[in-house]
Amino acid sequence: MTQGMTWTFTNKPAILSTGVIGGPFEKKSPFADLFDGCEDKLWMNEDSFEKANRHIIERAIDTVIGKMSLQPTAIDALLMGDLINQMTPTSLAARTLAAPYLGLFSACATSMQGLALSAALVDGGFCKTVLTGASSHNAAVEKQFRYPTEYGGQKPPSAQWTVTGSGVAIVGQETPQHPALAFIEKATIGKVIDRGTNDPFNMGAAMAPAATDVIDRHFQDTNQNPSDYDVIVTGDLALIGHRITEDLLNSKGWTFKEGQFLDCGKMMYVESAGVQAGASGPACSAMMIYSHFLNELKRGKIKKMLAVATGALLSPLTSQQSETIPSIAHAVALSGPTQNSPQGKEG
Amino acid sequence: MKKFRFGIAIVTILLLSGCALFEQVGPIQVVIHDDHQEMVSTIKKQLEEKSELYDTIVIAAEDNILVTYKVNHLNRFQMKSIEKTLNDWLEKEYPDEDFILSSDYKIFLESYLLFEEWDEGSLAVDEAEKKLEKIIELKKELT
Amino acid sequence: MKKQTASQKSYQDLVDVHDEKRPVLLNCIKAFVVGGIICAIGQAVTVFFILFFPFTEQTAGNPTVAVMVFIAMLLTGFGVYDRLGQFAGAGSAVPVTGFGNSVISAAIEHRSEGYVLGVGGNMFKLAGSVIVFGVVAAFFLAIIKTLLIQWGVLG
Repeated sequence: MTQGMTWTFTNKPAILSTGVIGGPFEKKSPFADLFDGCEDKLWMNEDSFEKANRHIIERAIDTVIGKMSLQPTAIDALLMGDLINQMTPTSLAARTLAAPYLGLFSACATSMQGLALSAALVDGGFCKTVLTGASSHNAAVEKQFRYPTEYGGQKPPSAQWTVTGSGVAIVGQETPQHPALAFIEKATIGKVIDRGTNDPFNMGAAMAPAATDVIDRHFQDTNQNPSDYDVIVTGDLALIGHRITEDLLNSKGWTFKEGQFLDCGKMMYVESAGVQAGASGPACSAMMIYSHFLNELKRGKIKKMLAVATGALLSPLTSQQSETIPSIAHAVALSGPTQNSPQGKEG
Repeated sequence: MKKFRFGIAIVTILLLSGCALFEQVGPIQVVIHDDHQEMVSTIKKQLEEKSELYDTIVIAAEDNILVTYKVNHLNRFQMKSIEKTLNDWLEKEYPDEDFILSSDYKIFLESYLLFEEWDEGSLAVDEAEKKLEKIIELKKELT
Repeated sequence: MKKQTASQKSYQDLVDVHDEKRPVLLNCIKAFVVGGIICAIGQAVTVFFILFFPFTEQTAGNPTVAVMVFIAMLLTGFGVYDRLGQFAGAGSAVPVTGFGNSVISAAIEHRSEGYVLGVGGNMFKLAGSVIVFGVVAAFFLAIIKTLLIQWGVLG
């Protein structure tokens, strides 16, 4: 079922379990207690950063499968992605798992792209158990998109720190053994938006219009407004992009209460961590949403949330050829288990 | 951190103490061949009059005369022209002699060492000449 | 850069309102201090070579550069130089240690692709342009100087 261009799921696809693994730097995150684990070293005992990225994906997948005590063969589809060369870390991790695999790329919006598609697959009855997620590795991304990790170039205050980590979730129908952590209600798929910024050190500004567009369309399609959600959380807009987005949304007539409009990139690290504007990377939104926000939904602290992951679709080549940065955002509406659950108070 | 600072202090003291590189030692003249005595004195006097220079050593051997000097810090930009005017003056006064001019600290240092040894009297004439040759060779080295 | 359309311009204006600018003056001061410290260390190394080895002021430059690059190599390998770079900016990039850092960081980064194609092929990924344009600039300056001497403008 669709309203405008927003998908509304009727068969209650749910997030059943999550696996969130961080890197050594993410250990210092204020939300580190909610992660399932953190690696001690950036190398993770592998001989390249790309292999380390694969390792962290595998570890997150193992965690989530272990939590649900599933057989790896029970996974009907694997929908994942990352940032490194043709998504090889994810593809190689998928080789290990040997499940039907769809590689996804929406840069840092991959997490919500995967969640929306998984929900659609489950809702349509094509799959029972779908594993979705996203990952990134700071040093591997730096190597590909910017300068060598040890290069002493100065980053401007608008630069963002790519998260090392991986966040995965299993989407399926709720069962008594596996109660839902959250239900996936709606999803709005973003359009590629380009407002002509071309500074690769200011991704927040590039992604803000895409986030604005998808949030605006979501509210219009579903006849909702910000007060229908307890929180609206964006992926990795960070300090500058988040302020721009709020401004743009205000000008479209959507206003937010204090503490209602949040950003994973701003929350991931403490302010003194030396990460300039904040965190970024596919893992940023995946880790925060699959740990902190799902936990809040489960505990009933928030009942409904709109998760918007944002991605800048640039490559090192396009930015060197002074192409502007196109960006995308996907929105997924989640609701807590107590509200909609058949065994819940209302049911 | 404390150890580090201590280390730096030691190194600085070692570098700065008792070394002709950083303190004024001249003006000095070394005359290996007696017949140059008068000329060396004149050159020395001429050098002392120049306000841009603050420390000079003049060494005269049979056919080479080495003139080294230190240039005041603020005049170091004019080093080339100082050397040129000095050279012109020397060529004009003593057209028959070969002069080697240098404002290089290393040449100055080596010249000072040569002077010290000569002063002690532990150096024979031909040894001193050889040392001077070496200093001149060092001066001519460019890379 | 392509010409901006009106809507791009208006968005850029909005970005500029929220953007955090680089603190240029503070960066300059930091760069001056750190760059000065690096150069002072370099001077100390030069003095060391003059005092204890047969190098003149002219010739002590080369071993000094080698030592400074070596120090930069160690700092890069221990992961200190990139932090220094973030603090000091141009202060640590302009002295020869910055050049060393750009070579060595690229070499470390591409070690996983093997020694020939990885380290050898990518070592000068960042520093290559410095060498290319340095040589080109030197070539043209030499031509200009030669011509000026030929024409008797320079002595």
